[in-house]
Amino acid sequence: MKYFTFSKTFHTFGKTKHTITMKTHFLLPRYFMYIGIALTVISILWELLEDLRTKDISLRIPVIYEDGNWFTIIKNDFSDEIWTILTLLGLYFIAFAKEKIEDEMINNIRLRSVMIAIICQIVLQILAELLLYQNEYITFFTYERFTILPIYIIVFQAYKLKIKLSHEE
Amino acid sequence: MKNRIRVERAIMDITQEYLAQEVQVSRQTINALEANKYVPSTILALKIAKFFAKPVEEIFELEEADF
Repeated sequence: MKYFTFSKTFHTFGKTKHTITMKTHFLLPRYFMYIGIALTVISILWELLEDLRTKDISLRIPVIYEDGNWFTIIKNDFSDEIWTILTLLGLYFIAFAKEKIEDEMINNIRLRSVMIAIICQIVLQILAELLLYQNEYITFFTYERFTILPIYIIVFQAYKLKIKLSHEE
Repeated sequence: MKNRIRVERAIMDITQEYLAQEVQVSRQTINALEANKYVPSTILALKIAKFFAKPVEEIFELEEADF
């Protein structure tokens, strides 16, 4: 329902119940939450069961730079790339699927959670820069790419829980 | 900012849930408003005032701390 157009629909107080009336930029439909959970579970299983995979998924793919050559084609096992993409998409879907009731306070909480997640990310990166070296440093940053979304999801859910529990009527 | 939502609601004898549905937000938002934990947008303030059929200043009021 277009609420903010100040058309006739403005005078429909009470007729529509809990329709999403906020303009929600960049948010995905609610069912993406479940797709996201499924993708994340698959990606975790994919990584855990790495040793069981006998076949490489080798593909010839174009790359921008490899061993001194620009814009060349190489052969590469694609399973890592699949894992990365599944994880990123899964977490993104969970993080940015719409809530049941997407109102202005939820939006407010979203903003706060994003800021906390970014701050945590910066702190993590500074700590890693100071405390980790060589292989551990590289390993950390391989996984650190994904941390901002889980932190955001946890903080957002925690805020929601806090609101839900605080002072019932 | 102070508000008289809880009082107005008591006068009309309606629940948070009902008011929430009428102004199209979640019940938690109304709860946070009444507990002075959330300041509504102008749109929501106007919608609430319109629902109670009162001027917005009668329901929402500035406090010392806002200046």
